[in-house]
Amino acid sequence: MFRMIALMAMAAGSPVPDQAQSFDQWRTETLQNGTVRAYTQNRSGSVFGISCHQLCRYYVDVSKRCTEGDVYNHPVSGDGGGTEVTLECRTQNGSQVFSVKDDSGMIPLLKGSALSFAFATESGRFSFSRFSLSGSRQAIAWAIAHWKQSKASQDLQQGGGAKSDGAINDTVL
Amino acid sequence: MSESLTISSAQHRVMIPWDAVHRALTGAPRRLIVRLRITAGMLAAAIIALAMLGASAADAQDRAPGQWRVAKVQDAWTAYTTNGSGSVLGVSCARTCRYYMNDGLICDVGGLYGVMVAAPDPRDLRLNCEHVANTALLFFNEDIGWRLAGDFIAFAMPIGDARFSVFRFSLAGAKEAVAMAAMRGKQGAASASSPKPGQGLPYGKPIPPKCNWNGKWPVPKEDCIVN
Repeated sequence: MFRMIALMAMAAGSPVPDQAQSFDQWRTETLQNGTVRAYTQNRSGSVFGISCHQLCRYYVDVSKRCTEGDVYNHPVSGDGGGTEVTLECRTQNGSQVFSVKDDSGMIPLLKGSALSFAFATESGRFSFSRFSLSGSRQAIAWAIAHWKQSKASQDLQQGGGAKSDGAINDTVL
Repeated sequence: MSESLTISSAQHRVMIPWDAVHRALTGAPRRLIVRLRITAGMLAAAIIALAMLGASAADAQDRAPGQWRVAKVQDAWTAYTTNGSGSVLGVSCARTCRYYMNDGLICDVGGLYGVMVAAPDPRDLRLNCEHVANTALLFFNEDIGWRLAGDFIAFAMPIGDARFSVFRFSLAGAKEAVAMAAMRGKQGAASASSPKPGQGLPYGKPIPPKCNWNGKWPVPKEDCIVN
């Protein structure tokens, strides 16, 4: 049965988790298309995490429709205060998410215990998505390390030794 | 000297001059301090202070929240409103107009803050903190006048602890009040000697008098919480 679902998912172009691990409130997984990600899901079903394919990028998925390529500035609140991040609407593994374009302001907030994003609703109110960061450091480190490993072996197979074009380096943590 | 008048489409019409508001506010419980980079001690103080909001809401009722008023303070004309929590949204007009907000929180002079404004065109807006007439005001970096069209305007500001404060203001009477402040500001500017931006601004909650504010952080919390 599982095999059948997996085959159907692959046929539909959806990624299928290859390896998965848990770090407290965070999970990591490697998808069959080579994407490595670390993420957490809150009680509302919204997801915040980092996804590494060609690059590593933080993303937030709040099941909100957006226009592909549109860029938005959003306030983020963490333990140590708040900042603003630039989010870009992108399609990632088949679903629309907000990808964090410049994470430099957000990185210090990842050292805290939780992170919240604010989104304005059409009715002129706000919705807030709060995510636990418990386990995030280990999960993100795991994802980045595995992505680098996978990329290095791909480069070797292609006879490259080509330099990684990853946007995120070890200082992310 | 100050004078004031009220513009409102709400049921209550209350005439409150600047100095009366100031007196009322100085006697009211105050919220404290939040800043983008907040220390653990200050965070605890902020939580305690936020708990006092319930009491301050009763005072706000007497000031007829949601009404926009126009007042002259020294050389500047201001149009402003207060919400149920005692936060203030206003515009100060002399030669030019500047929108500001006072959320009752102490901000860091010269610090840049961000709030998200809801519809129309929801996005992040930047504000600069200035201390004027013993109040900590956040001045918007852009003209938000065109946004004063609906029934309400709402802002969400990150306050640390992975939380946001939401400020919601009625816009009933806003357009008329802002237009009047702008017009009178220009008229007054012609004869004014040298109006300083934001001079004599109302409003909102002044920095607690016992607070040993020196423009630096951290603020000693025991000196800044006033019941």
